[in-house]
Amino acid sequence: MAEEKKISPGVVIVGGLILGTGAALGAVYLLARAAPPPPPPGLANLYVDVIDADHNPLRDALLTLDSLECLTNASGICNFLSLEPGPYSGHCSKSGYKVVSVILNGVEIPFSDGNF
Amino acid sequence: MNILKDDNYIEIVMEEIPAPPQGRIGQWRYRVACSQPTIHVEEGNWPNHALDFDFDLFPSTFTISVRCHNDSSITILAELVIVDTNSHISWQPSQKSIGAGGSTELTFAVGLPRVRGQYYFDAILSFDGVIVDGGRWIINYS
Repeated sequence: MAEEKKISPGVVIVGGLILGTGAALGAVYLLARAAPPPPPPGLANLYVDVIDADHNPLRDALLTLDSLECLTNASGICNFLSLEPGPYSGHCSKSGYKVVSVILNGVEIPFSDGNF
Repeated sequence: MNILKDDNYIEIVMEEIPAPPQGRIGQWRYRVACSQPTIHVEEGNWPNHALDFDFDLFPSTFTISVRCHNDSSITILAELVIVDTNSHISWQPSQKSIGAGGSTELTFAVGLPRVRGQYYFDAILSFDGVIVDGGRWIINYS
């Protein structure tokens, strides 16, 4: 007669905790990607979205903001966080591409050779 | 650009820069034609071969330079044909650069013939300033 395998309640609880923790961490990670924390009081965040003319995200576009740099991810996004508010010089470049439009806070701003 | 306190959003639209076209020279022709019956006209391809090579990068300019070493009413036609396209562009005077792509044709005419004898023309083909072919065409005016 085959022996019946039994799972102890302790294993079930520990397994549930591990799965639950993983799910919670995943949710926190997704939330963090979707909405970076607000800047500390008095500072600024700049959320950058680089797309092509068909609204497809462009990855590996290099953004510079004065001396700061970031590369867009697969979603065409990179962020500059906790900036001092004020005037900045920006530049965007990607091999084989040129900038055709720059919109800051809903307003189109002038640019030239990727500089804005 | 002015970054304001708190959240700022910037959307940058980029457009792909078209790759430069590539081409192959099929024919580089240089011929002489004239309506004056007293001028012995030789007509044909010059030089007697067609350039045939590929560009790694299509040149930004072609230049065909034809110089006439005597006064004449002879019309010189130098023609460069790029295999990929089949359009022709004509211009005057005798030297001009054109953009990449297409074919080009050079025509110029100078004064009436004054002196019988031998005329010779130098034709030079260059790409981005680098001479890749050239030679001399001799015609006899009798």
